[in-house]
Amino acid sequence: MNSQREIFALVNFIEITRECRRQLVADVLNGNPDLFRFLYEDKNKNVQLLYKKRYELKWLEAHWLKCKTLFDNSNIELATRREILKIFLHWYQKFLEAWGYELADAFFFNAEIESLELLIDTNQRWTAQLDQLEMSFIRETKLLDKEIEEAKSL
Amino acid sequence: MSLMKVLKLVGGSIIDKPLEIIGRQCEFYQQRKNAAHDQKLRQEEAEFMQKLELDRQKFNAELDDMIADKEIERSKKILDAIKEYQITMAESSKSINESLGKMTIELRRQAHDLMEEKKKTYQQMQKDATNNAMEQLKIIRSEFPESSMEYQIMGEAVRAQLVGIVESSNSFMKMIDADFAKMTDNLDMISRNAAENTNQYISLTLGGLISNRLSGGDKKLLK
Repeated sequence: MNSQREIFALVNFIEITRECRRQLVADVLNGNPDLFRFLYEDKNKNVQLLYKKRYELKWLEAHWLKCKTLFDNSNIELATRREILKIFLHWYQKFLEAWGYELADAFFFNAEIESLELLIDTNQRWTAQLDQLEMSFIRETKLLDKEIEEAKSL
Repeated sequence: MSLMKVLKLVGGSIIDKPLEIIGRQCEFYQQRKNAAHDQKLRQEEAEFMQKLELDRQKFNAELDDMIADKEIERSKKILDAIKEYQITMAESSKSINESLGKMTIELRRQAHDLMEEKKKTYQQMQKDATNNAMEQLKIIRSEFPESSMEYQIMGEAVRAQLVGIVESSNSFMKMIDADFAKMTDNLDMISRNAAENTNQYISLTLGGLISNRLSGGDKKLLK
């Protein structure tokens, strides 16, 4: 019975990792905004890393959410579910460790994603404000340059 | 005349009476025997009831002992489960708190880096704008005599531009500081909520684990 549970957990875990891998390839090819900004768009190093991190966490969390969906949609009884989840968690832990995370970090993926969104939003606000200021400085300088040129020509 | 006839003539009571007496005596002995038997039966019954009562008491005492043993066993199971729960909870809380602490520090560092980066960008922008204004002032000084109206008007415009740069700088720095404070507050709030949710989740999960374990134990006891 135990080995059956192990096989069930392993087969599903492999299937979930395959699905997520397919999603990663599709996101690269279709230009997922976070990946696109990280890879090509934003030249600012700090914020680039935030986009990368946000994508990475969402992607890692997707593995767990898919596992949860698998159980939510099944008729597996609670005791068996616990056993399978334990086995699944073991594999998930190894998987996270390969990405430089610990299992405890997974508890905060959602909170970290939310926090990164807050940082990215605030940064965007600052960038917009800076762009506006830069435009106003340029406009002031150009207007004065024009006035000087006109006065010189008089 | 036979003897019997003589006796009958004399009266039958000579023969009948002794027989009657013997019969009565037999009856009396029988009654005595029956009473003794009844007495013996009653005694045996009383003894049996006494023994039964003793057995019942003994059985009840054994049953009480057995129940007490099972209660101890059950209490031991509960204590073991609680002990295990406390250890797991402590271990989980430790690693989770470490993880949360790491995340909070990292996010604060990232927020600080973003702020510093924007301040640097702005300072460079401000420096460029000031240099441009100083350059324009030089041009004005070299191109127009100090007493001329052009010198006065354009000089005033440059000074206004410099004041504008300083004011923009102040308001931008204030905005960044206020945003940073708000952002760190929000980060703290997110972390706090995450910690509370996680603790609640762990309690529920481990609580369920314990109740499952105990109900499993109960089933075994019933068997």
